[in-house]
Amino acid sequence: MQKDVGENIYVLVIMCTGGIALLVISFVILFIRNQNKLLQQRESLHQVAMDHQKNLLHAVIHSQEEERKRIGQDLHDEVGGSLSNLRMLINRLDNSDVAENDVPQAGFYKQLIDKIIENVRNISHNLSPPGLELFGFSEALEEMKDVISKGHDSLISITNHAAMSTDTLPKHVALALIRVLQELVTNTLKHSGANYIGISLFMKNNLLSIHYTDNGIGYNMDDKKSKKGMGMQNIESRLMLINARYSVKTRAGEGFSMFIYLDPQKAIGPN
Amino acid sequence: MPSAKFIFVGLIVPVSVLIPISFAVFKYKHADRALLLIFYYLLLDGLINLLAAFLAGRKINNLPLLHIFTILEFLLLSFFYIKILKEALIRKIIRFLMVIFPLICIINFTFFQSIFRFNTYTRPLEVLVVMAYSLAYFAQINEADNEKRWSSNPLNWINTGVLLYFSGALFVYSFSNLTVAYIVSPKYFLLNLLIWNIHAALLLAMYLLFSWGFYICRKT
Repeated sequence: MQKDVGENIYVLVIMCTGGIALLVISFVILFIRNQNKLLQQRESLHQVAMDHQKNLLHAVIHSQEEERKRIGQDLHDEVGGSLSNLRMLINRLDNSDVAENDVPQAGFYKQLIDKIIENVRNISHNLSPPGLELFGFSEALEEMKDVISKGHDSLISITNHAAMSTDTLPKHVALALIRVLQELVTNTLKHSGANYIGISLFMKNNLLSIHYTDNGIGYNMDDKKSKKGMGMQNIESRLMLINARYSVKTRAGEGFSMFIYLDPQKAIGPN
Repeated sequence: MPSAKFIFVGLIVPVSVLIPISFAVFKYKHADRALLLIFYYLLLDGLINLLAAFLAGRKINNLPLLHIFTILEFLLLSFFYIKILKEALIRKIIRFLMVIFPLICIINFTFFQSIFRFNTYTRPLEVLVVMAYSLAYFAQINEADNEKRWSSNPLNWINTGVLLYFSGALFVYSFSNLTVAYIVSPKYFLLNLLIWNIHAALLLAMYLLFSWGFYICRKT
């Protein structure tokens, strides 16, 4: 009996200690692998966030450049063109060779100068909506509507049930919202072929809610090809800066709609 | 000089404590308080081994050393884990154990187990508590948001060494009296040799893990 036990006990001791060692070693290895995996996940999440930030920054810079280009073009084509036109006409005044009746009437000059004044005003209004400074958000919104619809009142309809709180928004927040709506309208007019745009503002659970909708062609959100364009990235970065949240609902052929939620109390930022 | 049968147990492994000690001396400036405690632990290990070999050479029973060593080792490792564990409750428990455990040891060798035999009650108890410390440190690492890789922290390696050695040593110490009692029979002599060889291998593994821990330690 004791002999049998004696023969087996080596194996038993080796198996016991070996088993424990195996347990410890595999525990440690699994632990390390798990830790490394967590670390990797954290790093890749960080990378994604960084990339996203970079894209947003890129969009901001790009749109700034676009804006400069547009202003330059406007100045050159409209103001510059009209001024050189005027200059040429005035040259003819000095030129005695030109027959008396070829010289345009004073009324024509006035007209030309008025046109230049209007052009300059349009350009500067584009740069910063003057209504916002003077009369507040709702007026600026109305002004935007007038500029966009240019007489076709059926194109865009705005209902503002939250004028009380929109007009007390900090200036930079109001400006950001106007810019976002402008960008949305631009997108609609450029891409969607819509003939109706609806913007409604209302308060819901103490949140300022803005609902933007059009009846255009929309797009498929899952489609990898229709990645977020510059316009959408611009919208996102502006909304992020004023701590607003948003959600987009669109499908190919079914129009586009976007909800923006903003807590007026929490809309912080510069200024 | 130990015979060939004991060369691993009696010479190679006890001398190999010099490996982590020399790494620690080399990195002494970079080591923080916790690592210094491990350094002192290694010095204690080496010193006790030296004394044990000296007494054995003079045919004097060296087991009383083990009883003292158990208490000192427990206190040093408890200090080490108080330094690296952050949870207030755990630290409180460790402080409590640092008072209780030496008392248990003293009670054990005065009333229950002779100081000239292996302390097979207190030694495995110590081993279990140290294993719990080590696992608590693993749990702490698991909960923390680690910015660095696991392998870049010297404490992780040292803690792994502690867990590996102490979990293996649990068996060795539990059965140490049993196998020594029958040592006159050649079968049990071989068994005794086997388990002490296993113990020595685990100790060597711990020393090597400690060495690596000291090797990668940098001033933070």
